Amino acid sequence: MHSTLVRAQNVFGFLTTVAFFVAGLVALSSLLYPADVNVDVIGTNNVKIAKGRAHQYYTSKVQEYAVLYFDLEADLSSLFNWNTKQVFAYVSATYPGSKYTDNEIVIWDTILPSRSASKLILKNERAKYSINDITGKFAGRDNVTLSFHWNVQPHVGRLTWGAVGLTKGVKFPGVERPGGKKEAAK
Amino acid sequence: MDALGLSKLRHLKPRQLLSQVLNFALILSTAFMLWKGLSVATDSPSPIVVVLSGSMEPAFQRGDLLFLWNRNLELDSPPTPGTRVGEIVVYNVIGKDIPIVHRVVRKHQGPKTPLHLLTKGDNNHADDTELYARGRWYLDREKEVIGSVVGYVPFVGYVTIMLSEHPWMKTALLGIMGLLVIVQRE
Amino acid sequence: MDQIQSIIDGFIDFEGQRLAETLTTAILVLAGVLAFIVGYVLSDLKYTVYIGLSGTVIAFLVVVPPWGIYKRNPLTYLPASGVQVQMVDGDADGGKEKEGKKVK
Repeated sequence: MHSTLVRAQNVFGFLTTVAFFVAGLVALSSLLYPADVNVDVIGTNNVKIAKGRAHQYYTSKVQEYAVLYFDLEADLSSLFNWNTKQVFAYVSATYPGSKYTDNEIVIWDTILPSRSASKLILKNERAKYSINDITGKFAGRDNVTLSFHWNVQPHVGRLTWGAVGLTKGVKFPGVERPGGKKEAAK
Repeated sequence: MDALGLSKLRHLKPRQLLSQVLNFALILSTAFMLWKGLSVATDSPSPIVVVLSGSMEPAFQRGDLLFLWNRNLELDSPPTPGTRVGEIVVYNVIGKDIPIVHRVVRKHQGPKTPLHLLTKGDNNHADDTELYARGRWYLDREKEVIGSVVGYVPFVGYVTIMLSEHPWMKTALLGIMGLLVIVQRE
Repeated sequence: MDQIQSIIDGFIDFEGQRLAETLTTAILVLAGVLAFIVGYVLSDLKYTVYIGLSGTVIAFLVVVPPWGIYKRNPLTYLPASGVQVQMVDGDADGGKEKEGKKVK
């Protein structure tokens, strides 16, 4: 500590140690706030299958899209504490298939920046993202379940995920053709 | 002035110099061992990355530090194997240098196919299909993804961004250190 | 020029160094503890960051410049008595020191 330079180095060094400890304690404090998320309502309202080519660059084949509306009521306020930077909430659809047995796609998401926005009440919300499958076929798919997830982003520390609210398996209708005849694909 | 220069040269002891070089080499190799050890534990070639773009805002800003884990995150109970949608992954597109940090929005897995993932930045409107290699519409989890984000520290990585984007800063830093050595009367 | 040099060097005496060391530890630990507690109680990380930063600035301002309080116990050297000593060459000689000739 005998010269200005040595003192400055010492202060800086000790500062990083203290900052490291405080940040570590802040990150650990997140454990004191367990998640307690309630989902009151989640369900698919209305599903239609349409054929089309919506902004796809990967193939010129016609894809089958599901047009889906859902309800959701959830209270995520328990996820917000002093170490929460934002909560990313999303609804995903999970379904089995033949070539790809395990599929999951996000159909809707939102960013909740603070506790004041943490109560979600969605009625007849339209799915935000186009719902089509890697094989291009969606009509008549069975056992499609919707689930609601959240991802807590802290100011410092570990990211956490959670999921709740699984709906029963829903069978998607076949493609609607003019004249009312429904046709199911594999 | 001349006497000062000569007396300093006399005090330059080769053994002491070599011992200092050895000390420095020890520090460097310890740092390298820690890095490689972390790499093995997380099974990721680059277990700590710095956020370079704003495509995941407001969650991640440029200069934030991310800790990766490349083994399964096991988000549910019972844990579902493989990466889930909603996880934030870091991937290297084959042929391009810069790693990209985005969220998984789609997942398709079959018994005979690799795990296909589609990603999208929270702050981007469109998904990442345009960023992938030519002719590829999905990411291969095994080959292209180097890890999933589990931990987060803000700001700390900004120094590396500044040094790499403003190379004059490296020169300035060396200049200041040199100046301090000259000005110091030790 | 000399004054600027002495400020840049910032040499302080031993009691001053001890004081500087104590102050560094005290200010930074206090800032850290306060930052955490205030932020936790008020449930807002902003306070933690601000208190931490202020503590850092205070620590730098108090400890780094060579203030007068650090120079209150200067070393007292014996008065010069006209002794002339020949320059010793490094420390590799191992004992063979040449004694100076005393000149009255």
